[in-house]
Amino acid sequence: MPAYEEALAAQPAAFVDCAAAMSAAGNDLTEHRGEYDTTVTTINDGWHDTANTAFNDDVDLVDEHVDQVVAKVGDAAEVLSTGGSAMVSQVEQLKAVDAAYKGAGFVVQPAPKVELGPAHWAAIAAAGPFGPVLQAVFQARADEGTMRLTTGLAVLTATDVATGTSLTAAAEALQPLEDKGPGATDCLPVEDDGTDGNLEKEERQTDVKAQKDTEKDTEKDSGKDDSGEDEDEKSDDKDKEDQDKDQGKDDQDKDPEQPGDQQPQPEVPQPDRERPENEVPGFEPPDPVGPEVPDFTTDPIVPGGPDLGDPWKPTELEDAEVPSGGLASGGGGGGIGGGGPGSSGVPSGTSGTGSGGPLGFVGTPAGGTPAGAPAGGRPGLGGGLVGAPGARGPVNGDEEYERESFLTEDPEDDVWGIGTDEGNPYVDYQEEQAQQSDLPTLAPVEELPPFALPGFDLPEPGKS
Amino acid sequence: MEVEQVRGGGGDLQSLAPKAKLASDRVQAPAATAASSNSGFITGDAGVQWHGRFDAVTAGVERRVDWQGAQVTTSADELESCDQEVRGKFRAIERRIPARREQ
Repeated sequence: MPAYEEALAAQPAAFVDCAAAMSAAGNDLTEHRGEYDTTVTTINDGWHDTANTAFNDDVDLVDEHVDQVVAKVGDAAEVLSTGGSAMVSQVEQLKAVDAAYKGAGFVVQPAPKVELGPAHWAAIAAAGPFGPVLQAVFQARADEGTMRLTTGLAVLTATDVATGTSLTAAAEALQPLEDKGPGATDCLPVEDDGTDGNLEKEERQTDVKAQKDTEKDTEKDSGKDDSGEDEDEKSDDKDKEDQDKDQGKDDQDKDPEQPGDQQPQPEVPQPDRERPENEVPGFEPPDPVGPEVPDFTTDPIVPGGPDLGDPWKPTELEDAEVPSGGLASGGGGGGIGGGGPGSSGVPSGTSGTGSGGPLGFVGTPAGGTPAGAPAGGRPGLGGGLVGAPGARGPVNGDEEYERESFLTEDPEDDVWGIGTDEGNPYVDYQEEQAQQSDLPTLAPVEELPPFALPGFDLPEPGKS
Repeated sequence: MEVEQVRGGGGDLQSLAPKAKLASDRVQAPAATAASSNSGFITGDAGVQWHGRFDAVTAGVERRVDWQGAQVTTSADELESCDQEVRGKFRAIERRIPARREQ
């Protein structure tokens, strides 16, 4: 909103000039569009394929955009030209009124307000008794001038506001054409991918640096804390001791729980162990019925689950087979219910691992402590495999059954993706055992003795 | 595709692109003058603002046309290289066929 003096000093003709420039700019864009279309036509004359179609689609977008821009520029130029022209006349009128009153001896304040000038006061003073009347006449003219100037300025301001608002709206209506994304092209993405990768690397590097910095900061902070706050540390140490005592109590309280936590899985079969031991002599039929029901529920639902997956792993089979000799004796000796579960184990064995559960639970406690370590590590069905040969030791048919099961289920293990090492059935499997045993630790041990033993053995008998 | 014609057209587009900016440049000085010589007028500031938007629009058109020119040139180059490759293959085939015909 221009002040009165600003309105008098204004040059609204500049708006008209600007509007003319805008119109010329619209014409420039139109000419640019013409040249653009000419060039595109030239290109299209020698190019006909799908890429050219896509190119022309994009050209249409540009043409449409430019047309819209030209139209908007024309509208804005018209608005500015109309408003500027109106303001030119309004400012001229304002200047004319201002000049008229100043020429008549009035004083025009920038309010705007017209006041009586020195000449008027002199005339009033010279009028004598008619002075007040003359003053009233002059004052009426001055008030009329004030009203005219105020009105003129208000009209000018209204025109300015209307024009400016319209021009601002026209400016907001100008939406620049979105840049073609480099991802939309077939050529640029390669460079962009590289830059993106570099950016990621840089980000990672920055992250690493940030982590290092944070670590340094933490170290510094910890050092500062150590050097600075000894008293607090002492108090903290006391608190820590108290906490340690409390923790010790808690640990004592937790001690019976922690082994339970460390061996959570053997605890689960323990009640099962007790149950079959207690129930096997007493009730044989309910034993397979009880556990089989949940086993059937678990087996079909999760056939490839951890229950079946674990016992068929080669490592467990190795562990299970190696101590199986000791377990066989233990299981044999411990085959307390051997007659009972052994007989029930054969038919239940066809049903799946569920039968191995109770058998293993019988065998593992009977097998003694050495078998307890692997059985504890991989309880459940692993124990079932361990215990199974124990109970089946005296029965030859059980061993055949196990061998058959391994043979038939090895390819299944391949399907499950569990026993790829076993997939090469027995020959490769044994070789793999030898390789696995050679690679980690036994290789140097076994290799050295054969070279060393003949070296020592030969001279010894030679000397002797 | 007439490679040279299309490639030349791509170059023409790229050379034509900056001319869109001239339309904006034409308005800049009058808008600034109108704003400076009419202090206190909303229209003056609005004119400068309008020029800013208009400049962004013309710059967008310039970038788009330049991008199109680059794409056209690239397409021409790619098709030329592909044409040369196919030409080489045809020549290789051509070398074999006459030998069999002569036989």
